[in-house]
Amino acid sequence: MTVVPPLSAAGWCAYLPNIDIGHELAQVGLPASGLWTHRQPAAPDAAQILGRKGLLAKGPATRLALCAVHTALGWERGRPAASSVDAETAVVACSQLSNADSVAEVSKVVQHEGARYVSVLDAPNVSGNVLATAVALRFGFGGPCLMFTSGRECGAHALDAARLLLAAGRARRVVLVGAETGAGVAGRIWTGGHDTALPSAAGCVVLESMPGPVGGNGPALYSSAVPRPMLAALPGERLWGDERGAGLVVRLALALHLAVDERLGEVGVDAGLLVRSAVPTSVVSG
Amino acid sequence: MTIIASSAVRSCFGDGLQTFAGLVDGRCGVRPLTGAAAGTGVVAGYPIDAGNPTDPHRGDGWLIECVRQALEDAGIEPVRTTLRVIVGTGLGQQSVVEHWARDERPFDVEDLHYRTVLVNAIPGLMEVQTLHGACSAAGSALALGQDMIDLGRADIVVVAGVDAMTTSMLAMIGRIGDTPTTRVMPFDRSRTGVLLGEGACAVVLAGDEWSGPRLGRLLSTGLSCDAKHETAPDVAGIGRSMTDAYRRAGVRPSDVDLVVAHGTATALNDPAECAALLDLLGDAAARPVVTAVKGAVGHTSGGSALLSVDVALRAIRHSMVPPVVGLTNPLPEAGALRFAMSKSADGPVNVVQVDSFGFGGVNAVALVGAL
Repeated sequence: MTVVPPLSAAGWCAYLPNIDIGHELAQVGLPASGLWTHRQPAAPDAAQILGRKGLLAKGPATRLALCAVHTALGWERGRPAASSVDAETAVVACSQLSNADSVAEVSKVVQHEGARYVSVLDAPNVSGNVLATAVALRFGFGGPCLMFTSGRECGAHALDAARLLLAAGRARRVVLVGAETGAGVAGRIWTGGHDTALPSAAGCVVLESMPGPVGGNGPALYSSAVPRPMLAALPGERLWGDERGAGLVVRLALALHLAVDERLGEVGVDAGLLVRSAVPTSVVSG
Repeated sequence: MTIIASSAVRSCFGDGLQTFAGLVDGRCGVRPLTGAAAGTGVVAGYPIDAGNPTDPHRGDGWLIECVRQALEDAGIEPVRTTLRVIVGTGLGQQSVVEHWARDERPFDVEDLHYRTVLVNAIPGLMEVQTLHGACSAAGSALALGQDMIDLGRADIVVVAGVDAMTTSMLAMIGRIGDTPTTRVMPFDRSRTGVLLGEGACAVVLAGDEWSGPRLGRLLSTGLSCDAKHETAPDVAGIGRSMTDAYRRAGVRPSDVDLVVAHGTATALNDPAECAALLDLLGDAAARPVVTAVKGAVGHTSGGSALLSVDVALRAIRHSMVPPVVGLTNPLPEAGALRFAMSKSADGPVNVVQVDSFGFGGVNAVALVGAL
């Protein structure tokens, strides 16, 4: 059995603008305080986080992803885009419907009006990796830039790729980001085949190789091949619906928040994934 | 060491053998467009002349065909072998969304990637990853596949690429320039821009203990992102992917015999690629021959890197470099670079650099070596 080394988590953010995270976590007996008691701005209001520049023609999923990354990096609200390039930071993104709005819109304009009425501002948006490249461009990440769209498994594939990039020395840091929007075309496509709505959600976890002995430093992400009792675990069922491409990254960010910010110490995510703060400080029964 | 065990291609010329023959003969596969091009202002392209031009899943069959062929040529039965598949694509299944937008044709969200397509067609396949990476998608997939093998995470990886034309991307191409481009002329002074092609490709990668067929070695793939502009290329960003490839391979740029360039014939790409190559090669700029395939087969988008890898493998095997179809008068920015203006057989080809650069500044440069 291949031993998968743990990763260090240097920053995280679960960005869920339409969800009262504190209330939802409390419903399942998990603590939530301070950080999670206020609503995060929705995609149309992303300027409250990102500042006003650079958002023209950015789709809602891209905006949510940018907000999640901005917050995970600890940037102050309104801080503008990076002015230099960091060649040692990679972006690995995951989403299923992130540019569906743009693709659908351009297609309909061609059908009803002709191509001359298509906006050139939509040019980047018809490429399936626009979310990943938008993150790289805004934050100046010059390492590898990857985007997975593998459906239910794209979060797992993205996490696997993040591990590979670090292990292969292709990056010193990987910004793992997932995002979906439940608004517009993406939402209508989703509800055409599902009974529940697609939440607008984004998650970001900033990953690095473990700098020292396992467990000796900051928060870390482990792959646990053997099921074990958890001090706490996110419930198996979805808390607020299937976030599809964003799901795993959102759950990782939430688990890190609970483990570190809420001081639970150790939180299980999906089967085989565990996050642990450097110093477990409390035990939750059950 | 990573071995390329097999390679399969589908382009407007046909399979890999037919594609290379077409390139060597200097043929051009451009023709008038129908189907997805209706109303886009784009009058020409390099479509694969098979199937229904309006079928949103027209690329699936080519992908299945190439993955099957690559596995068969490598002597691999998926039901008996644990393998991973990574599909690189620029446009993916976006045609499905376009059809939904135009006529409310419902679909399953799980139709938007390639797992179901491949798992249903090829028994034994388990894991299929879909990687969206614009025009360098297959190059990025190649890097991940090699890393999986080098780090012991997999014994065999199938890396594939596929793209068919979409209305939305054709519309964007049609918005560039005042008059429609009628053919792709890479690195030519009179170039008028890019046209889309269609294609699929697949390679089987294995570790150096592999006892099956061998076509060549994947020495390395360098990756970078410009992080400078949404659409325009950046010489420094491109250069980082090139130097990354050479550093990983432990090969000097002066050792390269052939460059299969990205060569999209756009106003910005070709000069930027020339500048990056001149920076990289320095005094050795005139040593390698530079070729490019998009004048013959169009821009096959996400799979283009693997199509170029297949060309590299055949150039190594046959010591034969296809000419740059569409190039008659090289651009001034080419400097000392030596383009293949006619079919050439300049001696052994041992190290080939394969360039692929995508929208958003995503870059992948692969180095392919002789056995």
